[in-house]
Amino acid sequence: MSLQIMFDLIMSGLCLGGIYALMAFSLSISLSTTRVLNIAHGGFLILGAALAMLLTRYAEIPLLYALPIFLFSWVVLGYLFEIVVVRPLIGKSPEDVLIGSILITFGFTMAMDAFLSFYWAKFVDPTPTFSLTYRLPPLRLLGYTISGTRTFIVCFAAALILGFHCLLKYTGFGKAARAISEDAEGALITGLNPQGIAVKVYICAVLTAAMAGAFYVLLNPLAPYASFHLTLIALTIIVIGGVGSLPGALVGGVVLGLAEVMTAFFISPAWSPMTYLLIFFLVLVIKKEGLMGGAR
Amino acid sequence: MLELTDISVHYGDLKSVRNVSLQVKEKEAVALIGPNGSGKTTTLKAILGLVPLASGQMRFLGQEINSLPSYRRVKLGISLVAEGRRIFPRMTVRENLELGAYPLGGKADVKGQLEWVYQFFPILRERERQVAGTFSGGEQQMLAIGRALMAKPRLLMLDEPSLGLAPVIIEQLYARIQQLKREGLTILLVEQYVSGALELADRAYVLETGTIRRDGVARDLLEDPEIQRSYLAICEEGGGLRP
Repeated sequence: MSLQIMFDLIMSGLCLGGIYALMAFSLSISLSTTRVLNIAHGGFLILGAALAMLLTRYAEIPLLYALPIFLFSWVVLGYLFEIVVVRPLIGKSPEDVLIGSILITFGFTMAMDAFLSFYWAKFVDPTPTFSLTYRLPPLRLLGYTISGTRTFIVCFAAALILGFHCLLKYTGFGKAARAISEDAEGALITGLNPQGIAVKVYICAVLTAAMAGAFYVLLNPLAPYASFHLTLIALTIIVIGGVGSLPGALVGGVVLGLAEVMTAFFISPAWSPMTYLLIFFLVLVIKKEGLMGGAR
Repeated sequence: MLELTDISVHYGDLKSVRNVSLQVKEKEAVALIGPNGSGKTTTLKAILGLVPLASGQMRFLGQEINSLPSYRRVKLGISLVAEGRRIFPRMTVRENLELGAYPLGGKADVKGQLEWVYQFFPILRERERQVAGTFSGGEQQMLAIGRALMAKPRLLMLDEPSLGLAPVIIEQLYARIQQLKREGLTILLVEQYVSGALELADRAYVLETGTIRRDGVARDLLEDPEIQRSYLAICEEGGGLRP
């Protein structure tokens, strides 16, 4: 096997890993600050991909205008999602929040999936799959070629993760979100407003998921019913990395991304779900609080 | 400044606070004493809005606060140093303190407030960058008080600040609280360490099974034989808390 192929594989793995990390962290932070387990999270990746396709491929809006429309729509949708779906759960007892959130967001996912596939098939494309192409010229480095698109995705994912890191570490909002995820009642005593923080967290989380979705379909096509599958991957990464941990989500995402790409190449794509269940199992056996669980 | 009229709080089927009325006047230190489970902590939680009121009325600075969410009450000037401190253990000392000023919003003079808090507790300045979870109990208590002070409170409520601390540390802590009182802060103190609380306070209420049994000038209660028998003796036996 040539070094070029290895290079390509690692680049693909990092790409997928970066997307997974974004998907997992955005779910993880919304879980740790509100204790609401959002099953619909994977659905936002699909909706994000669908909107990106609708804007660029079907409406043929140039990227310069499509991008702000995309971002603005997701800020509004994230806000609405928090108000309508999440807000009624906040302040309830922990058991009610957990069970309520699973029921409500699971129902929301099913409605969203059915709505999307039905209307997409009816108005846009009778066989709905989401994919995007966006070609950048390949880069050359030391005699090897690297896909321009993949480099772009990796850089963008890295920039977003760095942005999240700075947001959490240096801004008042970030500190408040960390405080709430450490000790919700302690945060209440300190005078933080959980609802105000939940709104901002959900806007960030939903927006990030939608962007991750738009990137994902640059790599692989997505079916409209894949949302639950994506949520499961995100949950696996969260458990591997530790709840509420950004470094954990990054490491977990990259490990899973690389494992998926390698398995698909060396064995068969059909085996890739097996790989991350195996990793999941091993991490739970060796360190049950997750790789970064102790030090988030 | 703070006026509770006939408040009741239910915990499940239990009525844990029944028809409690109490007042705290400006620049006064008031102690709330009583045995375990008598509703002292619940009263403080109700004042901050952490538990819902079943009946009664609460006013702070003349304003009714019954239905205000906790963060609005903190902004009005009510701060609580909770039992068990409830600091954020994975965050640094400085981050903990900065969060204390968060309810004040963008207008907060965080630097100035930090300076003020550091004057009271110089150790917090020295250990600014340390992760709060590595602090000893006494240091965590100072941090918890410091965080409460960051919100510029008019009324500082302290729930069992002496809990689990060594006598020497308790003495230092009470010296600080005394200093805060001299600076004109109004204090509402809940304590098991009754002798210390009554020495610090101007007035006191005795809470038993959710109702107020007695109230009066703290010094008189300290010398009252009944109080001495029921509370001070227990305290002395229970680990020699008297510094």
